[in-house]
Amino acid sequence: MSPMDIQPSPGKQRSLTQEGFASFLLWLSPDPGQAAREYLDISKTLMKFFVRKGSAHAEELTDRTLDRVVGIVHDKPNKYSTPISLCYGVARKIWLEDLRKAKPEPLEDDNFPAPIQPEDDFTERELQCLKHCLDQLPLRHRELITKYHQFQGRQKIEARKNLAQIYGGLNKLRITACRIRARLHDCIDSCAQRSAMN
Amino acid sequence: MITDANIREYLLGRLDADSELVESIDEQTLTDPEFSISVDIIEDEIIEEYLEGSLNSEDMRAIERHFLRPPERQRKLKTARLFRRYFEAEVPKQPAPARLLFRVFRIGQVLLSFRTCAEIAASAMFIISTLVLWNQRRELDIAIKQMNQQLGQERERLAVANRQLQNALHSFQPAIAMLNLVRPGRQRGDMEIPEVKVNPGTKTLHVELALSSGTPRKYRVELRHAEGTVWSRDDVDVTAVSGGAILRVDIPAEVLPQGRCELALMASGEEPISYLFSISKLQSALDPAPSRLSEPALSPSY
Repeated sequence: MSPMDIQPSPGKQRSLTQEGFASFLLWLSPDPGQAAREYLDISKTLMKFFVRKGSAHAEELTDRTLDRVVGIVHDKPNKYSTPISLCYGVARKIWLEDLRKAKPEPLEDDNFPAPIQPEDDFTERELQCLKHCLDQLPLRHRELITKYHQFQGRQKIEARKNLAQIYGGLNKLRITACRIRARLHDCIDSCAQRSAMN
Repeated sequence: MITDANIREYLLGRLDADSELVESIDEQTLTDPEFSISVDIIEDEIIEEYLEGSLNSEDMRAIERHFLRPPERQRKLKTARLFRRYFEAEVPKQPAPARLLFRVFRIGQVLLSFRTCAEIAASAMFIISTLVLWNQRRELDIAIKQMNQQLGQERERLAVANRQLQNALHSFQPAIAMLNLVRPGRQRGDMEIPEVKVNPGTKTLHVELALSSGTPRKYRVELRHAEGTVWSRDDVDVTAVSGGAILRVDIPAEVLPQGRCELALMASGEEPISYLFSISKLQSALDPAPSRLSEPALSPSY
């Protein structure tokens, strides 16, 4: 992937010049392909950070963070050597600034009804996508995730204990299941978008 | 120290944003990929508990006000709900026969439905077929093993018989090989030279050479091979015959080389006389006689 394939969002181009962005990519890595990959990794990590903070506009905060980091690097390219450390510092600042913005007064808790969970708010297309994505998994992973999620309550605990013995311990099992879920989640998203476009 | 409980509180937005603990978790989620996975796992478990309805009211409130605020988390919840529905629905479609039977008797049904009977029968047939095939395969393996053993024994017997035959044949092989050489001189080109075959049982090569001169004299006889003399004898007599003479000499078999040889006769006052011949040493009496004109080996073509 070339750096030219990665463009900042159009709204940000007023404050983010091509020159600044180019020097930021160069700061990430002298190899353009590697720089592009690192940019995407940092972007994804920052998004995750803001989502975990419970932000309703994680994408905007990520853009703001990168915007500021690009500016810092453009002004002082040799001052910072570790991209993620600089991004962490800026991201945290952005988060605290956002937190301190004036927020509307919360409603009274007592009369606030609990939201009703919609039972089946997914389509047949999403079900088909899940089936398709499960078929893409290696058999061993497909079996693991199926057995991991098949049961409820006591049966679930027993099933996962058995799985843990097969897959090298409970911790390893949890990590593997988490990775498979993440993979399925991305696959279903892409599949659903493709189906929508068709 | 960061624990799973701390991470959980962090995700539910219940820690002080300015605290060192939050700062530490923030830093690690950004800089430590393994730590980030641990946070992902706890996120997934919170979602799972939320769907199961096993959370207390405080946790539920924190989830709805903070945890599920990002649209990305709402999508994750939706996917988790999708998994739950799909995997739970999958269970009845592929029941193991034992589980199916247990379910049937647990409900207390006396009369089994046709579909259930068909599934049980199909499972039973499958198990029986598998057992039969497995048994046949086992028997086949045993038979093959036995045949291989017999084959090995046959081969051994054949080798023993071959050795015995070789030994017997050796005893019938002549101890003396005969060679008559009548034409002296070096011949070049493709003219054939006499060939003598020597078996493993041969003890002596008896050579008779024809000489044109009948004058009685003694000769030194040399057997030459590859520019060297491999054997010699002095004072060999000749026997006069009409038209010339015959020189007879016995050469021990152990000195005989393989291939082209020269027998040279030297007497004082005479030019040396050479007789060319070739020796073919056989490995056993069963070996075929090699051809006199050997052809170069063909190189393999690919």
